[in-house]
Amino acid sequence: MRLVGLEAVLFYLFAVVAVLFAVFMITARNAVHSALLLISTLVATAGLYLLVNAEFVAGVQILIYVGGVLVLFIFVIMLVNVKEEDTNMFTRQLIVGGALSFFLALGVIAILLQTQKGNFFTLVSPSAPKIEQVQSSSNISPSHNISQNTIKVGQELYTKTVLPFEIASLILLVAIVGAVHLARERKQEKIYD
Amino acid sequence: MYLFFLTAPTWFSKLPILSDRIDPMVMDYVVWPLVQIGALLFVVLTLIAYLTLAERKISAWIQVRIGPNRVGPEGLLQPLADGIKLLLKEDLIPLKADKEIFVISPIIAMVAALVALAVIPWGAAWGTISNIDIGLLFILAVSSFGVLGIILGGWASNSKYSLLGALRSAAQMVSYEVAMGLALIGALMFTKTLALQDMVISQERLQIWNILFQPVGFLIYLISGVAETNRAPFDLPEAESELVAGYHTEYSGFRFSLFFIAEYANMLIVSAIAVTVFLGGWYLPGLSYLFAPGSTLFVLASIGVFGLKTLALLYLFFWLRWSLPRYRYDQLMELSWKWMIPAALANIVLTASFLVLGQELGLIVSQNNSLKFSIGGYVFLISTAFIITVPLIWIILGQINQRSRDFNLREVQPLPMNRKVNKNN
Repeated sequence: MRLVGLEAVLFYLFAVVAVLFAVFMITARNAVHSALLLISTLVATAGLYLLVNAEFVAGVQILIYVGGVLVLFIFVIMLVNVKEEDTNMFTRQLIVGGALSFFLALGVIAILLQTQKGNFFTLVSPSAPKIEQVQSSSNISPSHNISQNTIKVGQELYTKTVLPFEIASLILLVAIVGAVHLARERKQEKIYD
Repeated sequence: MYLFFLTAPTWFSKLPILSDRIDPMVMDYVVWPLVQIGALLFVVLTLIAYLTLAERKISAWIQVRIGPNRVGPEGLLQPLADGIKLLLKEDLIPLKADKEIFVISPIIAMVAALVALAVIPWGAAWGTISNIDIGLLFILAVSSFGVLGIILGGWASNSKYSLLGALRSAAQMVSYEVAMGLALIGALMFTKTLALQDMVISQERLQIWNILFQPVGFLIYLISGVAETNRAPFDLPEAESELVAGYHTEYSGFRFSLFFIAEYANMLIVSAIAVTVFLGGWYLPGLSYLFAPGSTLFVLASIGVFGLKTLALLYLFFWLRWSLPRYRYDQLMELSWKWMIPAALANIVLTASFLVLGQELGLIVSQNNSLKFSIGGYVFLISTAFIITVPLIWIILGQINQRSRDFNLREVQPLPMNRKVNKNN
């Protein structure tokens, strides 16, 4: 991990916000507060995607999760009108949960050590490019000043990964058909026929 | 890190006092964007203030009244008076409201509306603040964020009217967002990019406005845009006669005005995107003959062209509001799910087919991620769009929706006698 200057500041900002708000989300007593804190975590994650030049993923993350999924979450929470949780939620399953999270943390650390060999304890590696080298020359016309991230994603999706892409869309279609089937009653269908 | 900001004009980077003391890099990528952002915010917020006056004047004109004419000449200082009044009002927070969320939700709505302004291509070259790779996606994502402000505001007020308004607006905005996104895809096939400045440049290169290729897409986008911004005839979330004021019933003073500014800023953004994607953005045929492209005058003229087009669409918003009655809720949902979304999907399929057909016929050449048309190509695409796509979608959807009691406006057919129908359904 090479972190230089502003990039490092933003990375730690987003990372700390994501983790902290995730903790707040779990401990919040009110379901709507939890949803709002989850949104903050998701937005911070989108910021992390931006830092690795994955603009498309960041945009889709906000569009799908915040604009779609979380809005529906809040919608459902409001409709069923969840009452505030008064009891302490952390008394049940303490041992099992603790053991699970311990092993999860071990796994994450193991993977980090594996992938970040050598770089893990040095923040700025000597081979990191200087900021001046990264910045593009100011004479380039605007259309070439930006990354071609979206085009790459599109080309990959429709050439190398067509099959998984199609399978995913088919699964979503099945889910939609199932939802419509569950929502529609026999009586309603009779009326429409 | 990539730098998304466009470079400053030469006269700015050579300003006598600043350029001696500040590094040119900082000048281009920090000072200039800040100047742009400041100017943009000033212009947009003033414009929004005067849009409220314009709305009142236009509504008065449509209803053969005079409208506000007491404060200043012809009522021109009315927005100022309104602003001061809103600032001086008592700031009420209902006793049983969820205070944090009640306070934060107008801020969410306002910020979501203003952030989207950053990527809109206001003019050629340095007239634009930033040109990011995912421009259009960014706008859609940020504007979907704005829904949250409305829902949370309605919920936090702890009032039944507010909650009902919030629920309505959530369902409405989620439904129309789908149609809105799908309507834009047809135009994306011609521009081949999501970056908004590049979309305008591609229309300039083809010397045409996308609306000629995409009449259906433009219409769907416009209708969904009106619904997205909760404007009449789709203003059910704040229907006065049913819900007092919908999601902002409990808001007063400055917090209310934040919601109000957000609504008008959203209208501005929807119009600006429609102009960028379908109406050529700042491109006007013949503009480059009047001024040398890239000169200061050209950039200023391009900003003017963009502003005029956007204001024309904003006028359409006002016109619609004071001409059409409000839809009923089931009609609103049927319009989205049974008309807009299928029409947008059909538009995508037909547009793609005609593009491929044009390439097979040799009328269209695609190279380096941009299209090139021969004169036959223009004729082919425009004529197929108007002669085949529009009537075909109209006929097919009319046929499909004939069986469902669309809009419930036609005389309801009496059901066959031998079937018993539960009246509760």
